[in-house]
Amino acid sequence: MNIMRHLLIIVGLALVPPLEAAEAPREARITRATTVHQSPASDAVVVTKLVAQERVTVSERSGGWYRIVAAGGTGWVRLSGVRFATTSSESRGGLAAPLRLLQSGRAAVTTGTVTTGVRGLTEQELAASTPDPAAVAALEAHAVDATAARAFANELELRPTQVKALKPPAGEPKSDEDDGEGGP
Amino acid sequence: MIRAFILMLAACFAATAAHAAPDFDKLKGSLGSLRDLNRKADPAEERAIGQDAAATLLGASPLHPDARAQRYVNLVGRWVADQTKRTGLPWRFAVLDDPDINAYAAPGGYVFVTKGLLLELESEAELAGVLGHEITHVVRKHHLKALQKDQRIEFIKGKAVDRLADDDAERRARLEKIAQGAKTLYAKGLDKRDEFEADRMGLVLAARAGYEPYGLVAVLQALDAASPGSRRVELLFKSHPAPAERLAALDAALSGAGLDGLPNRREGRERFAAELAGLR
Repeated sequence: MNIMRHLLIIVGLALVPPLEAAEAPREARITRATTVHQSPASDAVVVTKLVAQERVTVSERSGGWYRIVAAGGTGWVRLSGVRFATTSSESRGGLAAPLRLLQSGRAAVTTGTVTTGVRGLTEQELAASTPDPAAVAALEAHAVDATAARAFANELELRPTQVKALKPPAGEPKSDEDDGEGGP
Repeated sequence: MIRAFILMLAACFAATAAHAAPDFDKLKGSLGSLRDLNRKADPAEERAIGQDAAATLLGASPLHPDARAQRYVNLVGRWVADQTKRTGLPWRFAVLDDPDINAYAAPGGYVFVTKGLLLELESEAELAGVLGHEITHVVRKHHLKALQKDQRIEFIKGKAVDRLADDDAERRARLEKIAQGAKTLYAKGLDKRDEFEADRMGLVLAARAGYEPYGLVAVLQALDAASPGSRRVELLFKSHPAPAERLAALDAALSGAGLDGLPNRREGRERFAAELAGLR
């Protein structure tokens, strides 16, 4: 009886969806010297400072910030200065778009009840492609116009916002990123 | 002295004229092909070249049959594209039924994202960042210029836009040429600077569209943490700078950019999951 119960618990645990694991903290490192803030804002109190390559554990994301635990303290760092450890198993968990199936290899990819074929769009597939103009024409069936897109954006209350272009690195010409060179 | 020179010139011209009238058609032809390699494609040509490049991609991977997912990706993509100055392009977005992780753009407004990539994303804001990256390739004409420069595709006015019958030899020859160029380009990838620019602008386009701006960063971090040996990222990794390099470039560009104070950011996790439920 006891054994049965244990078995049931083990089976039950195995059935827990990977989403649960997604809340697990993830090992990461800091790529450059950075300040750790009390809350996710650049003007928030600085709790401590980290040096490049310092190991941290990431537990949460808020906008452009990760909540981390480091040897020197706990707080929030800018997300773009963080690298996660390479995942070693399928159930990697984590906040940053887990590549859930990456480790499973192409043959094991399942979609619902069907296991898809082993062929992806590889370099070989590309080289062997026979252009398919009919498939291009088929795209028209799903095309949407600006009016439909605006209504769709309103559903989620997406509001167009003025945001300045990010600067290219020094030495590279500053492109007017919207120019489109006179195209429509 | 000068008079003597002019007389000599006049004599030369007279001799030439007497010998043979210049063949203006021939002259125009050779000048034309010299010029065409540097000529910018007009919108119809850009579209036609894009159609051929898109046909090449679709020849390697079929469209996903889920109509709801196809429409959803078009709606998100169109909304992000409408934050650029090229709102007049006939933007077409599509989901490829491909388990690998990748996304593609073709000239004239074509953007493709694989099912494999969509399944790795967690929110509409992340999708907007990915599509913003591809939209930038179109807006900045990265592939068009690369095809013209590296693949020596000549934009000869009228030729690309010929939509003649399928048995037209010239039309088939042209499709074949663009397809070969597209195959090489999609396999080897664009110039690194084009990719970094697409990352910077893609992130900004998602932010302009009202999304939480850091979706693209989160996607790149997930790719960075992927096993480099995975076959599902083989072509993506081969044709792009390493995710760590792209993240470092974005990190540098983001410092002091002031993207934190934007009001009313949306992630769209629920809508993303619901609209793409058919892919799982």
